[in-house]
Amino acid sequence: MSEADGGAGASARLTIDAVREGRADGWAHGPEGTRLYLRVNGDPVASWPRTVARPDVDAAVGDTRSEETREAKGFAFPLGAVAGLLALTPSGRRPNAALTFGEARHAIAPGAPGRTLTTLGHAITDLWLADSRHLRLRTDGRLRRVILVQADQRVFRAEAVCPAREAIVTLRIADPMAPILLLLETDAGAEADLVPFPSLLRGGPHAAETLATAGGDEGLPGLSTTLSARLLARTHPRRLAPADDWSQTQALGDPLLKRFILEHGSLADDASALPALPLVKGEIPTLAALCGPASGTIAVDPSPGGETWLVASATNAALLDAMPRPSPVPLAPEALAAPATIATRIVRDEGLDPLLFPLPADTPFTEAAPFRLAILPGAEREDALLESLAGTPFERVDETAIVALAADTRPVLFADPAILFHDRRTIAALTRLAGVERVASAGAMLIAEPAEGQTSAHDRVRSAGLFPTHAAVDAPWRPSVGPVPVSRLLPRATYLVAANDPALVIVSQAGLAVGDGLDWTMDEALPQLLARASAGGLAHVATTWFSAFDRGASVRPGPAPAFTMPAAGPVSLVRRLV
Amino acid sequence: MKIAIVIPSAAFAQSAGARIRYQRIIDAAARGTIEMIPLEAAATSDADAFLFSKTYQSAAPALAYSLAAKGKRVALDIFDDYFSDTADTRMARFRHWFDEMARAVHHVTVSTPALAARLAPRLATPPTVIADPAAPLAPEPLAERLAETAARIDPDALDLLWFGIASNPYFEAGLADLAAFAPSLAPRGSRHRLTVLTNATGASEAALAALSNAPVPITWEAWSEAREAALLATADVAILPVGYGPFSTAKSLNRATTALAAGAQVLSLGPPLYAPLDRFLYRRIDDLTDDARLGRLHHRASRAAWFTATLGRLASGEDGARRLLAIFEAIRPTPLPPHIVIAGSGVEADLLAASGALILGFEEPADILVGNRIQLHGRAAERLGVTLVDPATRGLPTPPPLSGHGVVDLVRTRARFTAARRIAEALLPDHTVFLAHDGIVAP
Repeated sequence: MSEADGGAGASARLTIDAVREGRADGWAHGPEGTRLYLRVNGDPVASWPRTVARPDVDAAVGDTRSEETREAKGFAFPLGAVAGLLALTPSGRRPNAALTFGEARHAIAPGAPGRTLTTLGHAITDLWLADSRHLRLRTDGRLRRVILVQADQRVFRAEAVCPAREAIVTLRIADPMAPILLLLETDAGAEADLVPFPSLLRGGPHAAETLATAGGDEGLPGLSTTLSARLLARTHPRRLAPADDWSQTQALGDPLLKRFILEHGSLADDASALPALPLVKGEIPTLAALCGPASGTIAVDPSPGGETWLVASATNAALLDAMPRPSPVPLAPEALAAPATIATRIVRDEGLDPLLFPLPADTPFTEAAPFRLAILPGAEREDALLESLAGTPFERVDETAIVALAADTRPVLFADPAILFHDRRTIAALTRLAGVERVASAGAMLIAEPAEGQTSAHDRVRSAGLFPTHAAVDAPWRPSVGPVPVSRLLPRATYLVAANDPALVIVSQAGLAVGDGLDWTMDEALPQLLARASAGGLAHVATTWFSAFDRGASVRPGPAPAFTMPAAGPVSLVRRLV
Repeated sequence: MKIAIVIPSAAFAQSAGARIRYQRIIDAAARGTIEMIPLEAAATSDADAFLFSKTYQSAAPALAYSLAAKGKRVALDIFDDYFSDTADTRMARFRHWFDEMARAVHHVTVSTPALAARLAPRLATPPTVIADPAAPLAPEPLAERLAETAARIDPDALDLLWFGIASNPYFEAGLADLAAFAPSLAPRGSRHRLTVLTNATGASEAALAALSNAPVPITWEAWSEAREAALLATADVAILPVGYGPFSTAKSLNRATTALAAGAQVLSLGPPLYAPLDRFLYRRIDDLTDDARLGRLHHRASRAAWFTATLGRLASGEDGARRLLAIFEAIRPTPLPPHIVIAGSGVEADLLAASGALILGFEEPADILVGNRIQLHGRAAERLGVTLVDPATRGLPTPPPLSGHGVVDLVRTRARFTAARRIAEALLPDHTVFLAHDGIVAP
């Protein structure tokens, strides 16, 4: 029990008896008609009626009026929402808040908010950001009035009266990154709610994080509650390691977003147990990453109809060394639970050139290492393939027993005769990747002839790498293996994949060595070889730095179903969210 | 000295870039000493010096080289950065063009120090900066206009103006920049209004969608030169958001000088492109509104003379004309070997012919026609004394024919150019070789 701290000797009394699940139950006694006020920095932002009859109090305060004329003295006040607003506001800008009744005053301390967004789905049927300075909510008619409070040294308050029917109400906000206190007046009485992270709402910069992680029963309220509890419980700000040009991006055009990131992350070395979170140009950290362990990137194309992908990239130092301009990405065991960054990439159809040459044609790259070529049985003539390989150090093989090919250290490039190497550096990249220790196979991007319905250049591109993937927004994760369309949304990288498409794959000596009893001219031989290599702990890699052209992709059946999620070794995960 | 500014077409003279950069230099120079001419008129011009600008035709390097070989003074002027981002595949043909132009001319001039720094690594001698000139400006009328603005401005309800071209065919710029920075135009408690003056048909769907979420009410108007002048004269603040891409950050001060010269306050958002004018503009809208309340705006009547003096120092047409003349006077043309051009696709045969180059190509008309046999015509036959060469007997490669399949031909074009270069170097070893090809060249 606590007595009001300003009540001594005054005519008004304010007492809070207990706080349960963020709700304070108490009573207040004073002159007739007095209301409770929530004051932030001394300013009244909302008033609260006393609606709970308290016969136990009436005798104590000497109220002798009849039950008909006696004012109710008890109240329930959502202390948790206000305490959470204070706690989630950085200390330098945190206001003070108090519940007052006449001269009596109960100071509210910052504290855990408990459950947040509790009114979503009840008094408020939907809630989103119309733009970075306007919150919009849909009501079903039971909400009469809503007051919005934000605090940033100064108090910001907005109010709207809601019609008694289904309606959309717009409220101005001061800061899309700052917690919002909503004070609601409904048919059933007064309620309060906390939106701890408005940026998680639809239209906010972290909306993709909601999409990626709030698919379960808990939804957005659960995610908001979890994240606010984790943010308040952490002992150190998350250390950030931004690239030199990190902030030089339009994604940080709103200065309040940049301020939020730098207030909740640290650029200095500190005692945090977590490794520094690398941020490359165009990326913002997720709220989960600011609170704790996280990895993987959500790639968002903000264009109308743009896609959103969750990319959990796995790679290793040797692979990075083998490729141009490596961009290190941490291994990602927990990526599906907590992605680390959101990268905004505007994907425009720029024609085929950037896909034919993801690494520009005038960028130097090393020459190919010696390799052997096995042309798979196929419908196309092999002339164009051989012509495109002219000048590269290869020797054609006739031996069809795969295990016999393992006697030579040179990797074997298996290619459908419809494959065309328009970029000699693709061969160089594949031979380099096949030379990395414990790599069984390597593949590149494949560009197909245009087929009906393929309207943009991106439609024609996929990766020879088969990723564990399942494209659904809110279904549980069920790993399956398949090709993914490769657009500019996937960061240019070399990925560890479950297997590679047999239409174009280079197999290392180690990979060939597990091919006992397999004949590469037979159907299914290569899928079986790749599956065996995975089972034996060898890795398959696919690069999006280079591409090859596949003239036969539209007539050839897709990869055989022999591939399953490999039991051993990390692989990159890719999941389309929208 | 008579100077010709060589532009891609006669119509280009009406573009904003030509009007701002070249017409103001021409107006400031001695009458009749500088003129703009289209590329096709360069070979027959009687000018003493040539400044090539935006002539992205693949024949332009050969034409520039031929003028230098004739003893003319030749320079290249760059005011848009299509060249420094080596990670951008789309711009590979521009990088090829730039490298070929750089080999052909005596000197390179650029519009900004940023461009100079980025292009210097690709050049044998560092480029010279000639700033975009501002239009001549008298301090008195500017002071009057600034006094009017100061008296009228309502810090809580500013008339904001964005003006310019909606989008760029290659880069995120224009409205996309405005959309990115729009959130900062609506600090709490404000009732600012934004007018967007642009060619709205050029706006990308993504930029329009992003802008529809801007937290300020927007009025759209169609751009015209007259409308720009009219709105700049009445707006409180011109918003100049700058994107972070290399294209945007190499732009000149022109937009800021235009807006400030018209008497508008300027809010510069994003990279500090307009830093040389920092004393007269704002980087945060809150600072602007605070100063407006105090009646102490950065750009105000009592500073009009200071501003016009600064403008004269940073962006003067006279200075531009002087520098241009000095650059050309410093050039000492030297004799050059004759040149041969490998003609790829999309090349303007008449422009190549006007350059006097020997043309080595895969189809008629070419001075050296390469295929299974090498046929020599006209001057090529005269120089070598033969009309037919069998590649096999000279150990020369035979270029493969094109197939009609785009990607197969990408491979074959690479082989054809490699073969053509070897043939050119073998037959005419004392010639300078250019490759004129309006497409991508596979590595």
